[in-house]
Amino acid sequence: VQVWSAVIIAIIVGAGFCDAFGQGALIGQLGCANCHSDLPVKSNLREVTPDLSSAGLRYNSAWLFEFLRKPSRLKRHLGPARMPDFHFSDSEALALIAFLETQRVPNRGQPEMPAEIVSQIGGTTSVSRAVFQNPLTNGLICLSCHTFEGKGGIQGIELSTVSYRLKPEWVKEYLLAPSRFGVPHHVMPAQFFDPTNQFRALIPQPAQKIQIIGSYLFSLNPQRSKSLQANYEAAKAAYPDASAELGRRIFISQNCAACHRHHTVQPRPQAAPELTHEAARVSPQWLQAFLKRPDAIRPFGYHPGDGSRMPNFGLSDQEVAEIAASLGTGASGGQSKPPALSAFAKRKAKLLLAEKLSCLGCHRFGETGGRIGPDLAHVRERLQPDYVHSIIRNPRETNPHTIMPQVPLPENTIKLIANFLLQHSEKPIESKYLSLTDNALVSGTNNYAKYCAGCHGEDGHGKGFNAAFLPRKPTAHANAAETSLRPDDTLYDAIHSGGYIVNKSQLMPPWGQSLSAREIQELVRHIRTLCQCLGPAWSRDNDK
Amino acid sequence: MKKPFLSVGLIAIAAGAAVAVLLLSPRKKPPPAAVVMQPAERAGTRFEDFVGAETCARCHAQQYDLWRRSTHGRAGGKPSQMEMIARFDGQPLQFKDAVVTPSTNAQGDYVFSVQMEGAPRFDIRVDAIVGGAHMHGGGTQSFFNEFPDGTLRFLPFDFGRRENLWFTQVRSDKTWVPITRELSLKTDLLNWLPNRVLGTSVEFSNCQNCHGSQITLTYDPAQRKHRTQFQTLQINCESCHGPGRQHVELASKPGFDKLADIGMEPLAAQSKDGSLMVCFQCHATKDAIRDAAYLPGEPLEDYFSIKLSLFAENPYLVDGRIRSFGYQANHLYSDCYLNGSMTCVDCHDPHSMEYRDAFQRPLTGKFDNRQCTGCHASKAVAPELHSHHLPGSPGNQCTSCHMPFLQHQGVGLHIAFARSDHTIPIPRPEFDHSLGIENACQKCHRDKDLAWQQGKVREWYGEIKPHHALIARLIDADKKPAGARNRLLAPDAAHPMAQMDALAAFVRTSVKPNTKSEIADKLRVFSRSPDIDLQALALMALHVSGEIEAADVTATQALKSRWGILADQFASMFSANGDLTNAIICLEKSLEVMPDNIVSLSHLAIARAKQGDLQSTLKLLKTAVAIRPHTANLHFQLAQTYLQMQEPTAAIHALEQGLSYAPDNQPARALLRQLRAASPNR
Repeated sequence: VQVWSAVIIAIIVGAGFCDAFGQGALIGQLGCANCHSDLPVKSNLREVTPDLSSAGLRYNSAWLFEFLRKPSRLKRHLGPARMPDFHFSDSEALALIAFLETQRVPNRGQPEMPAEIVSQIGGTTSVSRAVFQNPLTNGLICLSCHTFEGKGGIQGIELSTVSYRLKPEWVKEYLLAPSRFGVPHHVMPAQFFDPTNQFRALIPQPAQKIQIIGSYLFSLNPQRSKSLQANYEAAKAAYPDASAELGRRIFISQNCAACHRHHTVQPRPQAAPELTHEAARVSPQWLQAFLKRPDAIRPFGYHPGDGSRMPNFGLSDQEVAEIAASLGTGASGGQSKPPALSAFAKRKAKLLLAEKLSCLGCHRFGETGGRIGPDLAHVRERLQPDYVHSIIRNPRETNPHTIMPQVPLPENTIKLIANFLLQHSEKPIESKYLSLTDNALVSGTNNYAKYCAGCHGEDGHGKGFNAAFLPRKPTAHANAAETSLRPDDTLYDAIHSGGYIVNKSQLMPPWGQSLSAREIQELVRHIRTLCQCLGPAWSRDNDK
Repeated sequence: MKKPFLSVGLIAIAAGAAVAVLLLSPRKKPPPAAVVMQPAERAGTRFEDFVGAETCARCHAQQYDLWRRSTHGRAGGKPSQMEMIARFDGQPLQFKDAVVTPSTNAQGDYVFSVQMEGAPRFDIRVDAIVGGAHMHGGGTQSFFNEFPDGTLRFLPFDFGRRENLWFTQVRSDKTWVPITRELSLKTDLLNWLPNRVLGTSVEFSNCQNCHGSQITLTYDPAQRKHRTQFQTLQINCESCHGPGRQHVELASKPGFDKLADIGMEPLAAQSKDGSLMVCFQCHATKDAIRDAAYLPGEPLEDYFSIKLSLFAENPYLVDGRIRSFGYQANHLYSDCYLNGSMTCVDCHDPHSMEYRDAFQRPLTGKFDNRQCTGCHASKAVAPELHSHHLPGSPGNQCTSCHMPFLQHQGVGLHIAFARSDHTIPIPRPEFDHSLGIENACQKCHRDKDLAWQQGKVREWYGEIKPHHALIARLIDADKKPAGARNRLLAPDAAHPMAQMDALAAFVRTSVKPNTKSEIADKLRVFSRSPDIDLQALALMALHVSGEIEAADVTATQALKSRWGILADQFASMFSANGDLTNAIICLEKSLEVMPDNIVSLSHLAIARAKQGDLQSTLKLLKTAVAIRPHTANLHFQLAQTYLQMQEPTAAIHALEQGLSYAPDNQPARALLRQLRAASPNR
């Protein structure tokens, strides 16, 4: 009852902050709803951030390497929005760059640039500062928005950074026709040619001026370019395997398309936890600390194996407080305090977790346990008591999108485990994200990918990202020699009732309360396609 | 639940059989496992460490209430505490040579009035009742009387609820039959005079520790009396949870909630085998391996073995089903155990004894399909597709085909004693028939013949699931005894019962004393097995065949006991075939491992006597008497030796000694009278 009242309160609060979003609340402006898609207000971020379809034409990879590893706030026209820190390692950043390098598709539906104009802006010329400054201050409106060496407008990028961030050819083509690269007119207007009117000149000698501006900007900061390049080359030498394909997977995993347009990759729905019930779910103190410094709750993705991460926005205290207030987590009340457990009860709970229950197949607990779900050593500081009871008792009713299975447990066991976790005070180990380059990202959307691949691997070889954290190797379904010995019914039973009942690991949970008979039968059929085998002949009596 | 009284004690030298031992000719049949005579070594648990269920109830009322109403809570007790099922209505039970009348006397006691031909009538009071006739496949009730020697003895008049009649166990084939005028009380009844006691004992045939809680039977030399102690004849909380005294003491002090060790372990966290061992304290055919009363909470394998019996007198058929009489340890043969995680408590609620599934969800009863489909969920989608029987029909119940109630053949056919088959087999009508087992189809389709039953199985299921590979080899070996015996040795088979059976079959047929074995390497693998019974059997085989010396092996007491007992049993097999030389080698090896084993000392004494080496016989018996003076049968055996040595005076003295410990031994008393009469000095 308390959980539901909390949920109802959260819904009312949620309805309340629709308006808040409408008025430009921070949580909307930052683009939180782009991943936490249950949040009622979406941001327009995608319209104003760089379209990454042409990133390979645009960016200097050496700079991207630094930027992805340590994002800085460049674009002032985004308001409070910013490129957050996705905790990328060198190899992850390199793979992502390898992918972005291959993205060279300008905005479709835009007119081709006339060849004679393009030829006029090719190459570079030596330009003095005075020659450069002349067009900039006479006739062009660049400095209405941009700054140059700190002087100028307040919304655009500092122009002296162009030399090490961008590619020269792109900059000049961009000046020629900004809309070609998906930038709306209100963000970067066309000043030199009118692409909508057969590239009619908008100012005198437009091509020459593009050439001057481009050439001069790229003569700046040679040392910075050089050092970026050196770092980038060194990293590439250390991780020669960072491939574009891997980068593409990372691009998808981090839901880059949620905030950046891309011509093939679409934003993923429900890519992150629901937040509309956040007040009923997490403790306000924890949330604030987390927003300030998000560590890995689910180390390899919100959906097991998708690799998604909660990025660090580098929020100020004020911003954190504002977001927390938007989520309705200003105060916690009405939560029942867990009854104190005896030392024996705690020991029993630990024993059950270690020996009998499936929880630690997915959840980390101190030194042991899987890396699919959140670390149970954080429960006490992180979650609300009623939520903990409720999610163990009936995960789907508590959180409709969770993949956590409902395990049939006696009520006293549910209470014991919940209360134990709610007062377990061992200092939790800081949780880090798992490498997106060293672990197999799950890309499929079928139930095997969703529920099984984290441990068994999407290809069924038993090497999912979570396998390394389990005391017993997950069954390799693709192994025909083994799987052909197991009847379809045994596979069904193990999925339905868990690994323990077939004398395998208790860490494989029972899915029977969470998947329908048809879904389990489909999983069995899928396993048969992985092993390319049938069960033993004697077991196929119902086929006859 | 009533169990028959399989003695694991010293049958060969048990009281009633004393003279048989004295006059022993080569035995026709190897004896059951022996108890090793060892000074009692308590692992620390004492009878006083138990507090009784009512003490538990003070804090654990909910569990207590469930238990109190359960079959364990109503398993036995004093007559005043029990529901009397049997008819103590004054209707006489007519024997050929006696009339026994169950009735109540003026004091309100239940009594059996015994009127034997030519003897005065006397009453035997019922002091204890075991069994509430609860069992679905045939429930019975048994009665006990306190004997002057301190033992509580089973009375050979049982009551069968379903048949509504009195029955008894007969000496001839050990089956249970209704009491009729055809039976002689004196000569036909296995347990007349009452000779079977409550508690584990080497002196008597006995019921081990199972028909009550914390039963300890000890001998007090000062009083020259036995002492029978128990908390209750119910199966109480501490029978499973272990001794509660420390727990109660800790709980009564402040700071209890700060203790991680509360003097009691949570059974919920037991491993599969750990959990089974709790129930197998009683629900298993087991051999006592030491002469000390077992108390719950101590390691069961230090006191009993549940696999040793597979060597000499296998209580199981090749696939684990009950050969003559047994309990539920044949669950160890089930696929649910071997390829699953199933323990007893996955179906049986340990407090209420009601039914539940593996996830502890309560069920409606013993025929609820969810016992099985809780795990075998694939069969729950459309059970009738698997069962080929209509929904709602008995044939659509999992238990009808996979856990049929089978009459235990050792009981005979007169008294219902059918128990659900815990090997959880697949119906194989022809195979089952070949084992002499009623197949599951037959339970309902009595009008159809075997061919029809087998035909249906073939039609519905085609090729059926094969037996476990090792069981299949054993079946094959049964058919072709000369077949490749080495194939029976499967150290990696992951089927401990079948491994024991197969290893035992191999040892029985292929190991010869002091003959090096060509498969010693495989035996050595078994000798390192984590399974103590397999280890013991392999060590015994290596030892007897001369591959190893006992002194070279470091072994625990529990391992040595098994090893020694197995060597003794091996000796009995040779002895039964008249091969005294090999029997003696085995007995000497047994004594190398267990020098204080009075059973082997006694057996070796017999063998030496047969060889005519009476001096050695005398020495061996004197050694045994020094170890355990109050074992009357050793004195009787000594008397027999003196007689053979033409020393009647010494024989008389030995008989007197023996009778001082077992005054009611009628054959010994008769022999004494005979000797005294013949003695010129008396």
